Amino acid sequence: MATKQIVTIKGQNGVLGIVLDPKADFEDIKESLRKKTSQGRDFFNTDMKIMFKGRELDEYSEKVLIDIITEETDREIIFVQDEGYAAPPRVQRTQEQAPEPEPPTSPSRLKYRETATAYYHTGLRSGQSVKHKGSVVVIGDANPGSEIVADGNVIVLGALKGMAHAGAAGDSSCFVSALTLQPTQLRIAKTISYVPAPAGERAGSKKAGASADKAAENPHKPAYAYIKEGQVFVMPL
Amino acid sequence: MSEVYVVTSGKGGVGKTTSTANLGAGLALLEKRVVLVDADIGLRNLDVVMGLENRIVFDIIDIIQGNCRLKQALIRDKRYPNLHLLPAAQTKDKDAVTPEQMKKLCDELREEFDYILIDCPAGIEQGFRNAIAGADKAIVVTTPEVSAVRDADRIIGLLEAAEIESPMLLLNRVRINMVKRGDMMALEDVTEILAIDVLGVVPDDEGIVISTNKGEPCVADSASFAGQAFRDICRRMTGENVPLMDLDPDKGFFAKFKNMFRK
Repeated sequence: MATKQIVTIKGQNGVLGIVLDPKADFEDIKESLRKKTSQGRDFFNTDMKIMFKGRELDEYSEKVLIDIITEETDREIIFVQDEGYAAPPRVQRTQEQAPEPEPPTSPSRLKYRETATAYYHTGLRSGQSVKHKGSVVVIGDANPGSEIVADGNVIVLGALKGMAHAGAAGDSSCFVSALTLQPTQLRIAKTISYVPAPAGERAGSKKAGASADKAAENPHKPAYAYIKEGQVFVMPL
Repeated sequence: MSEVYVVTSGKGGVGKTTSTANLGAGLALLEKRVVLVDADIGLRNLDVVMGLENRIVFDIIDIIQGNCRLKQALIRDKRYPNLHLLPAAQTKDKDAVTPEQMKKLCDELREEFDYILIDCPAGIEQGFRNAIAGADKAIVVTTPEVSAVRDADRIIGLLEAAEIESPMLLLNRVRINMVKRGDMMALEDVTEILAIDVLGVVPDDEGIVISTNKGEPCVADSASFAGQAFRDICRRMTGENVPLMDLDPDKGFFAKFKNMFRK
């Protein structure tokens, strides 16, 4: 390989910057990235947020490079950041590498990679917890005391009565949806809220007098919760 | 073909030990060979509820440590045909046993008995893991309270993770008048959350306190309402198809009279 490094990896603010030579052949980049990541296995000691720099990548080649990293390190990529997001330029300038175009005030945008959705074919019971980097679909009930944490969306084909956290890594465009939406607590990105239970009823239980006016209660309809202006809204489907 | 049941609940005080004692006695009355194993080491109760406390010489720890033979530690309850108790140790704690040792013990008991009922301690720690180690089936006892149901849900999750086949629900201490008024969860509310098969429903009964204090399981008392519920459950455990009893007190009294005439 050439003396000049085609791929450089440096961490900053919890984000791994992967600087790619703009002129090198893509095959060489792949080769070099594979070498780097397998050498630096210990360096990749946690799940990562990464950012590619120095070169325009289309969707496909980006995916190829990410696959190489996950293969070599056994680690998950949580996010692929767009260049310019949350990366203080000063830190970058102290490094010696390839020219980096840095619009410091580009709108912060996290690109959530909808790689995989996890499906759970059994319901979740109290104390059971599901954590996933993508979206989560639970087929069955999520009982009180259960926990669903997804970096993507949360969909429950059943009654959601436990805690659900969508967009756990910060993506506030994620949503939570369930056939019966009665979570003990609902979190989307950094917003925490709870869905007010119908009068006289608590999630998963009956309070005094609940059965008496059972008929007057609204049947639980499928609903959908999302964030708008920092607040959680619930919309019946 | 013997079956090892663990009677468990997660939450304490919902009636695990009382249920174990009554189911054991009830199965013995159906002429099954039954052994009750108290797995609540350090907080043994089953012997007290059975009224056999004064007959303990050796206990489960003695067997596991090889201080005695299995037969020596088993206490035969003279009131019932073929009912035995294996008491827990009071001076040790849960860590004195490992799940492997429990499993081995259960396998030894299988050779002698049709039904092995393990009284599980409350909680989800070592004691729970020991108690379920040798079990094929589980009876989850709960009361119609939110906290008890929540814990039962957790326990069912743990049982499923431990690959114990379909746990069955025993809903204890139901007060039908409160259910009617809507002040207590009904069976349907509980099964909606827990989503498991119902083994039986036991009404709240003052007689239980009396029988527990006396050390005489109420299952043998034909006038006891709760005893009737336990008798039904025992018959279900032997594979009989017995409909759930009607807990309505008015009808209940009627049933009681009917029972008396049948005698």
